[in-house]
Amino acid sequence: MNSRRTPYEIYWEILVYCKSPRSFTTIINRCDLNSKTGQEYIEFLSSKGYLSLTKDGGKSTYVATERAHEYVVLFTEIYQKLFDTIPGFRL
Amino acid sequence: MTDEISTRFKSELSSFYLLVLLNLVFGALAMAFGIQFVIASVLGLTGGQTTPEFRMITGVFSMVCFGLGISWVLSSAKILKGITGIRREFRHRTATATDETVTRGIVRMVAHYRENQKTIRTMILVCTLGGFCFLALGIMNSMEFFSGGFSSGRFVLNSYLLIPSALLTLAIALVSLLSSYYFLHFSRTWDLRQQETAKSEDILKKSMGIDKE
Repeated sequence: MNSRRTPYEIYWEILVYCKSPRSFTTIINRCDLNSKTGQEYIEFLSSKGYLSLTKDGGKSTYVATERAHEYVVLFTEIYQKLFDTIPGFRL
Repeated sequence: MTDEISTRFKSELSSFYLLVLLNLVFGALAMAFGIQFVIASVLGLTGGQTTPEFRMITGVFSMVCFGLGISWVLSSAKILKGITGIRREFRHRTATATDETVTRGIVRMVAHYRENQKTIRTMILVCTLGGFCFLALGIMNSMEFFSGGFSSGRFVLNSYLLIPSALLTLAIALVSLLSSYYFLHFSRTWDLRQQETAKSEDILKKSMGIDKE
């Protein structure tokens, strides 16, 4: 998904993917981000308490927190509503 | 709620996919017919016909149709590429899609539209212009079937072989105009959705506490 996404859409993608612990590299690969922007997004989400960093030996992983769940639910509701309230397109 | 939204999203995705695919096919046909009419017009000019002006006008129109055909195919291919990727995840799914899968599909479609908004607007313009050009070309070629005059009140059909070609040109014109109508409808629907997502950014900002910073 290398198209124009808003930061909120990227936050959602990262948080959904981090339901189970993920390394930095897998996050940026899965969410189609470069390491610089990926670092910025992850740092922002960590600073807001949506991601927590766990260090297991030499391996660092990120996992979504309970707070992140609230954001994911709200985002899902908003985006699904787009197909619920606006009349759709059909041939 | 997800079941219903998933069905709606899938059906909308399939409709749009079909529309873009149809555009690709007709764009290729438009290119082929455009070049065919250019050649026919040029050959007609050298054939010492009594109406070279008419042939020249047909030739120019054919050239425009050929150009629009190329633009039509390129735009359709660009849009089709993105939509195929989004559709792949839903195409063979028999079980109900999860909340997460549906939302991911919606996010990808929103981003795809945001990225291709300009191309879709070009498609609307190209389809409309192409439709009118092919309509003019179809009428011009239909006029060539007949010879005769209003004074004598008699019209003679010159060749039955020209009928399928003129009918196809008119069919391309019709599909082109219909496509522009459907693209316009699609564009309006997605413009509304874009507006909604822009509005919802405030809610998301508040939920993240960014608005206080």
